[in-house]
Amino acid sequence: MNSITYLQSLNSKLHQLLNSRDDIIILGEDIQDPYGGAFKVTKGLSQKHPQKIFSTPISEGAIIGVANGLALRGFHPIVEIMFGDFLTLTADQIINHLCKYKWMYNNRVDPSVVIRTPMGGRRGYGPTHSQTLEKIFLGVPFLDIVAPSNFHDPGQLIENCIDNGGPFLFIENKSLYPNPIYIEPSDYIRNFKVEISGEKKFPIIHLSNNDFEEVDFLIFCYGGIVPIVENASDGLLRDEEITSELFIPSLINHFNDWRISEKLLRCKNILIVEESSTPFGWGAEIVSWLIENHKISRNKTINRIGSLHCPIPSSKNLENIVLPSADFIIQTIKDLV
Amino acid sequence: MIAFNVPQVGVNDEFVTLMKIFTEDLKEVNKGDLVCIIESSKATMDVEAPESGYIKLNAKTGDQVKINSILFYILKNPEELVSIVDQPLENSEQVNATRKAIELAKNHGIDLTTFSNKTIIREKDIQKLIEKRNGEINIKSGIDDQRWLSKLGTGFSEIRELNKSQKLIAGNLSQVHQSVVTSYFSMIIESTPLQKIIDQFKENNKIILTHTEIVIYCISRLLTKYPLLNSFLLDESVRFYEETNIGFTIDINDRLIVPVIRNCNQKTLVEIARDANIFKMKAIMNKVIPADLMGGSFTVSNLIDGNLLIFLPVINIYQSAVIGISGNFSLPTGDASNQLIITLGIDHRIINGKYAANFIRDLKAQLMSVFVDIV
Repeated sequence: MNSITYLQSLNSKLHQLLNSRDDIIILGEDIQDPYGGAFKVTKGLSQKHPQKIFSTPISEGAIIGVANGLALRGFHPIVEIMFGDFLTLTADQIINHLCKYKWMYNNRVDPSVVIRTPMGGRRGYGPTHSQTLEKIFLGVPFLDIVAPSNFHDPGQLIENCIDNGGPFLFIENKSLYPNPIYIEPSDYIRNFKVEISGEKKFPIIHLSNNDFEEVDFLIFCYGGIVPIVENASDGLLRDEEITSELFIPSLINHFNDWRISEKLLRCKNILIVEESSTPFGWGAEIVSWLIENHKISRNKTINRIGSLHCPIPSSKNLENIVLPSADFIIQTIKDLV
Repeated sequence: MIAFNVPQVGVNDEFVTLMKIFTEDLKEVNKGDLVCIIESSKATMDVEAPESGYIKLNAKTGDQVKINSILFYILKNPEELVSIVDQPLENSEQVNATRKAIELAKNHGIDLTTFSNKTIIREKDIQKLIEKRNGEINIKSGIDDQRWLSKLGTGFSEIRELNKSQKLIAGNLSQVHQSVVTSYFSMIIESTPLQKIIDQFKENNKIILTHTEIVIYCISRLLTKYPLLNSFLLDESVRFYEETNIGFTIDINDRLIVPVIRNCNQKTLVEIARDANIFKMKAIMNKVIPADLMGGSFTVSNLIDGNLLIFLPVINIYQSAVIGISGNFSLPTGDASNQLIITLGIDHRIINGKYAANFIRDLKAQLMSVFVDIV
């Protein structure tokens, strides 16, 4: 099993990209060495490539604005927004400018900007540094959102975003940075059988702890919540022999998996787990997608689990209550069965 | 009974190392006695007995023990051990299996470590194995029973189906009977020295000792010299057991069970007697679990209370020898003292007569010298 971490995958891929390509420029706050970024994703880059790494003033709107300009001139800027919570400051540049260029200039430009940002809680960083805000951007036209889980290779996904062209919001859940990632092809990971589907650039990972036969729960989840869902799923199997299949996309704002109809037929219930609060969120969109495009029999239950609809507390104990935990997921599923 | 959990010595530690143990299982300790030393990443710590009682350790020297897991138990009396034995095994977590699978396996005496599943072992995997195993047990006589029964010309007052464990025993014995070629060797032994040990033991250790345990003790010391007796024949090859696990018969409430005392060659006579007494107690309380009956490599059957001269015990499945103890009365040989008859049954396919005769001769010598050994 591969032993590199989520953080190492990102860092080594950025090194590799800067070594091999001249059109990549990285912008962000405090990303130069010796600090190397708040989460050390850009560690060591500025030493080797001082001309390509720019530590910027604390002005998120300006950072995206500069990146937009670079993209219009043919560069491939990668932007680091230190905390995902600060994306709100970039909203105008992203929504009103970046995502509209291609359309406004009749496809004569391809503003290929990748905006990397760490999201999520569980680190005790409090209400303004712990949120999961991608749901605010999920409905923006021409903006794709990628959120790799620990079953994806985040480094490879960054490269795929650049190759794909067009603006990307790249969500890194900060709780995943130290996690090992599973990128070597393997039929089984722990108690799960693994299948991969979807576009090659943005794969969807499927994990089943019942060999892809009928399961009690089909669970949709992405990003930082995945290891928690995985634990819950394993606990349910261990204690109650409740089986589940996990559906883990990397590109989270649209996906089309032809196998989903088949999966829906062989699951008894559907559950969507996300780290942000559920109202008007990703889970709601999944439910609409399932209902509009696929026939779901009436005897199936559909449920969502997310954080409480309130700011994230600084206190660790309270944060644990607000964010969905493995125990909470287990209890919810037990109540549903 | 008190369970002592590993304390959090250092804030960041998940495990401590058990460095040294100052006592042993079922030894009496007083409150405040030093039990062991544990070491965290930062310091060592003496662990004292929180209460007086008998120690049952849950880890051995050098083990990495998880914080908050049970390090040892303090029993009010050794008999409480039964309730620990009945608890699910601590290391069952290490086996990748669901709770239901662990329970089912435990109830059927199935060793989960023998599974080679790619992922977690489930209830259905155990059920499959049980079905397969039940299919293998063949109690049938080999003739057309139905046809024979129809010509019998008499009815039955009752047809009583065997219960699960009886079926298992019947199946095993049928299998042995069909394959093993048994040969028997008997010897007379004077009972008086053994009776002295038994009496002495009662006085010194307050432990009930019978002839069975003394014989088990002596056999266990001899089996390294006679490894064929601790083996069995399967598919044209002899498989020698690593451990010396000796089963002994308990006939209680018309139910014959053969619990197995493990690693007898590493145990003292006191420990063997203690183990045997625990099994006897469990048998009375009907608390013997299938796991207690598995893994025997040799069997001792004791029928000295039956006033029998001699009997021929049957060799158990996957074993090559059995000892029967009978007699214990004055024989008309002129000697007035009580005499025991020891009968050894062997699988003649792999053990020849001379080997067996030497063993039983050595066993006699061992039994005569055990008195010197212990007292």
